Amino acid sequence: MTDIKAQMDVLPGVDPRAPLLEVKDLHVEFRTNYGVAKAVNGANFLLSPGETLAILGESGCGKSVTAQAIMGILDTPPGYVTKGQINYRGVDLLKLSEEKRRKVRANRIAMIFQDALSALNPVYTVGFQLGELFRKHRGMSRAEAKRRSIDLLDQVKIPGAKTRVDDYPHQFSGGMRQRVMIAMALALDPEVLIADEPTTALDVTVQAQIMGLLADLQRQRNMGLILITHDMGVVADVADRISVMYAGKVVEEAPVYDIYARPAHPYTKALLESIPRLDMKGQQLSVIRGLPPALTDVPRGCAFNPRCAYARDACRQDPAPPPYQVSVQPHRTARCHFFREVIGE
Amino acid sequence: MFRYIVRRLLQMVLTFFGATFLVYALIFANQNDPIQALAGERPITESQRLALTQRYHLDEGFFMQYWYYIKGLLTGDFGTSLTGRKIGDMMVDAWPVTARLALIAIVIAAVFSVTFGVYSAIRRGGLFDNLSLVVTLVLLAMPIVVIAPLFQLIFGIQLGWFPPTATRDATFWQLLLPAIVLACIVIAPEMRVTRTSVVENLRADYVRTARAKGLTRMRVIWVHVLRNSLIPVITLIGVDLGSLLAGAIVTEHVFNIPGVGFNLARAINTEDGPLVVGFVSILVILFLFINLLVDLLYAALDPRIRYE
Repeated sequence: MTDIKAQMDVLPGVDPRAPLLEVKDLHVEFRTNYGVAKAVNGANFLLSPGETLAILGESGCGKSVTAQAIMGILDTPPGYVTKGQINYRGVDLLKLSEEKRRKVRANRIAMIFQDALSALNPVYTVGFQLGELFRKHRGMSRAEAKRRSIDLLDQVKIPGAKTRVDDYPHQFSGGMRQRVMIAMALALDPEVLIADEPTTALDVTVQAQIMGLLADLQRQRNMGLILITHDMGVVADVADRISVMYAGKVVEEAPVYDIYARPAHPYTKALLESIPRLDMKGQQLSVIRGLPPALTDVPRGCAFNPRCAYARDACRQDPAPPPYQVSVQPHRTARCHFFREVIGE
Repeated sequence: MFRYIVRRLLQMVLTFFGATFLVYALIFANQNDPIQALAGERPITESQRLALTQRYHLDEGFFMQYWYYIKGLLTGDFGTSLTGRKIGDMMVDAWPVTARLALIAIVIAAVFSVTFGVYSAIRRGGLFDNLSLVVTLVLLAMPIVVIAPLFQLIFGIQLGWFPPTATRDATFWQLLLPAIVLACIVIAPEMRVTRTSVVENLRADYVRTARAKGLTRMRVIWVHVLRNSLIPVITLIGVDLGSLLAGAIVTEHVFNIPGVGFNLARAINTEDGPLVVGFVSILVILFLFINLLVDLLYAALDPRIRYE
């Protein structure tokens, strides 16, 4: 962290004792010609330095949108943050001017995307795309930026970094490309790293390498990591805490061990039961009946009620279940009226 | 890459002979009485007629005439116009002014269409976007035979902003109005293609990455999006060269610029076969050459394109 002073100038009001990242009651909607899609309806979570928070959920549950809202890179229009706070060290990012917000990106909060082939610009070398960060944010010369880019490629263990820095994204393999993506996110020493399905486009052995690399780098730098995924296996390996999202809400939040041992929300429970297991070979795989609701038409009450085995009348009526405190130490919440029943079984 | 270029150049040689043959045949088929056309309204004596017929091999049939023509061409002799001037000399006179005219027109069209296209794309559906759509549609609907005299009348004569005609040693200032007229015929499609291409690229994943890197909006658009969007635009600019050269025939005629189009128009009117064939063949070669350059430019713009 060579330029903490420069960063302090940019973000007055940063309190080093405040939580690293705190998302409070975040609401995001997409205003399309076909109606308003409520992609995120009250997401809450907390991230501390060195901690890995997994956001888990099916496609379309709002997990990527939440990440984009934190980064401030929603496509507006049609996407709008309508309510809530995103506090970084006590500063509400949503209240910042675009110019200040821009400087938070990559400097303090960085992001890794799913498919590195399409996420990297095809017509510029990786050296250009990495060096650009140093040149534009740190005012370095081209030569200095290139030297730093080679360092970074070394750090993410790309063999022959000195020559590969002049290659184009399409000349890398999938795994190497994702390493470039990681290098790019880490270039300016961010304190928070958001990884949006970083391994989905990779094959299984490469997945493990990339997750291992991410975990190493996170430990070295004591970064807070938000890992967005639908892969429960990946989560179990690396996450400290899990937020399970459904239809734009965090339905359950808990430490990883507790959630796997005793899920408190019927959706989490159903998800865990649908993981194929070796000791259940030959038996029918458990599935969650029905489909996630369209975000333009979320059911009344608890959004999960039409698919829920525990659903009763109370679940079908507004208001939706609040985040009940399941336990204080460790901190656990679940948005289910009957969480005691779910957890008790 | 080298082999690709050699292959394209060899293709060009074939195309050159094909084009000369075709144009020569067309002129030959269309020929009525070139000697009378040369003489105009004046009567022509039998001995004059005989001499001219012999000099231009007019009595020897199509293939022999073509053979004489090609033989001259291969020794660097474009032949003699029916007016008696060496065609080679006429080209040396005509090409520079047309080349300058076309170049100014291309630059004007490219600068306008790219800037306005990008601007429409980032504010799509806005006032500027819709206004530019209407203006470009109007331009698109007006043929050059209307635009050229209209602009000459308005800007050259009534307002007097530009000189209404040009000379052989035309200055930039004299060529500006005709170049604008020429640019008008290609600006509309080039701008619409730029706009569409930028709109498409703005949705790409790498744009999201560039924004996540905390780059300014200007840098995201003019550095990351633009280079990706330019390929279809460059293609169009290459193809539009054909429209520009066709348009030059009318424009040079209207603005009295003694360039290629001017000579070509006169040669067609006077049934001056060798002159038409000479100019058209060079036009064809130039067109092919520019499009080869355009293809090579792709590889410079997009490293994923490689020629084998």
